[in-house]
Amino acid sequence: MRITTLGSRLLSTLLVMLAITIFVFLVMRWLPGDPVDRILGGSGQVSQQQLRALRASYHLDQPVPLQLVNFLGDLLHGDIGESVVYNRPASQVILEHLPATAELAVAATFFAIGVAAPLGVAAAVWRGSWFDRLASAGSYLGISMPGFWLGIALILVFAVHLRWLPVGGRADPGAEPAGPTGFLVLDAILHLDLTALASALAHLILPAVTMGSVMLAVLSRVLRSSMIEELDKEYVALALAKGASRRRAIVCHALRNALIPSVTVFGLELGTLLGGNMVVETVFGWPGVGQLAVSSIFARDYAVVQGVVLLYALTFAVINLLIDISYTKLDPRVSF
Amino acid sequence: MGVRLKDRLGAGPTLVVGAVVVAIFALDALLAPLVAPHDPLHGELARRLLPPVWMGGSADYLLGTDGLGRDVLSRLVWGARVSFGLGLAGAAIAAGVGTALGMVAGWWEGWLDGLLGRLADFLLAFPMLIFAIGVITALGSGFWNLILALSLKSWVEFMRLVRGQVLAHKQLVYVDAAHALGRSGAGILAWEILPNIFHGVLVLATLRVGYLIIAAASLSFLGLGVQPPTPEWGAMVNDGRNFMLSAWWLSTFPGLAIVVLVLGLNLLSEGLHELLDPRFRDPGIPR
Repeated sequence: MRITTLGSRLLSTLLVMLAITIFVFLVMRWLPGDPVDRILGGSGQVSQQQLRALRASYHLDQPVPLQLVNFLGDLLHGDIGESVVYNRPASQVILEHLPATAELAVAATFFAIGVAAPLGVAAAVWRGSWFDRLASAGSYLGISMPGFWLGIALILVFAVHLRWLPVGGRADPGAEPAGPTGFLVLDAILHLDLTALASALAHLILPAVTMGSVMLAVLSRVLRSSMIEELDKEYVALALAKGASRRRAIVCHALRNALIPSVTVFGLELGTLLGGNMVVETVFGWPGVGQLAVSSIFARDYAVVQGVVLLYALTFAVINLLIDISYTKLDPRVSF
Repeated sequence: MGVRLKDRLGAGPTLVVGAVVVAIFALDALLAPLVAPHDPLHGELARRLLPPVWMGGSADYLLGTDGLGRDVLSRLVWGARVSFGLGLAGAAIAAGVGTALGMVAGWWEGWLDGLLGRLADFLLAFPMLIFAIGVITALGSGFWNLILALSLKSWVEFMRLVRGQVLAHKQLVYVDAAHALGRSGAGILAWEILPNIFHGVLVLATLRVGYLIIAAASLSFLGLGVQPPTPEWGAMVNDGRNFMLSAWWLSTFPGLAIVVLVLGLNLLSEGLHELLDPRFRDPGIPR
């Protein structure tokens, strides 16, 4: 029973991933001109024979279904084509930009969860108080605020006006640790380089806050309402009656159960957060995958765009799968 | 009845505040040619980057002028048409298509239901902006392509909501009664079930208008949505970035307009939810 349901969940994730890949392939074929036209950029300096040879070398002379099979085969080898801007494999270009994006996403998630958890619990425990009202108003504002504008407002206040934090980028020039991971904060710690660590953290704060704000607003609201529901249940009263401290009843009993709806929302919001990273990276000049995607669209570097769209969608599909599996850890009633 | 409605309205300040904010922006969008003091596209370089009136600007240009000497207030007013229009059109198309497909899927179930379910899984696997960027890369940017990109994904939520509601309502006695009276399936869906589930669609649609306004503005901010010189709030924020140090108001006001309108829409949605959802009604009132 357990194995078959987990199996069917895995299978449906794989099918969705396959569908995404085929969709991306078709969209890219739908574009005007084929990759050879794009590489040559209409320079007109080549003979028909050379064109044919080039097309054949990219398998563009084959029927579309066969092209799709080739595309899927290449994809399994990590080959998504050549970037016409960087003149290197697109996968290589994307991988180089990945650590910056991952570092920012992790920082934004930590910020969102770190603030939302105590905020949501406190608002539920003191429901109806001025603190609860303030938190509720704040979360409404957070949901209504576009990331690009929040980013600019934060830059104006904290970088331009107060000069506390840098305007953008990942690190001060010369303060980038040549580390093994590509995560600047981690590399700086590995090199025991305090200047680099301070610089990396300072650059991380504003983009992480911008990117995490929507998730913070949504998570704190969901956590508040599920905490209120749980706190009213009898098992909490029982735990108190058995002599558990108030803190223990709230954190160990009610919070554990209130986390289940929050985890679902967390998974959905992680997708929004990933989608928002193009905007945030553009605002802060953060050299990640999001900024790469935007510049590649303008440069018509379709191999890179295709790779980035695939990367985002597949990451999101895997996240959703992990979220589903995590229910079994949180809620003993759910099992695969 | 009148008293009951008044009681309910009195209980929900969110509804009133939200409705007033949204109404102001709607009027502003409808009456843009009358409200805007200047031509939003015409600029005079001699008057470029004038500050707002309270910072020593001219009373002729209340919120100052942009880098091409265009009146910021007029562009904001006309921008309401574009930004609000994008959100409204996207949500309306998504709600219409999603509701129709959801009713079909929930009523007849079968292979079509299965197909739509798989399609929904597939579309939900994309974050909104990523999906829109894929569509826009293929079709090009612009107002209508933007609406297409946004609604092509957004109908899924409506489909899921309506399908679930139809499945639940199918079991209820009033549907059996309609059957007994000889109503056809399509007739029952349109005249019996739809009025009973419509409030949910309305609440979700209001919420989606705000969400789509932000999504459309984000794409325009990146240069992938509405193209210049059309006044659109996201594109205006982007224009203002070049003058962040010298003219902060250029990015600030259009962003503020988005925040206030979307906040109004979110409050309106919440208020409608409280007003229309039976579970929020006072249990003391006999029905």
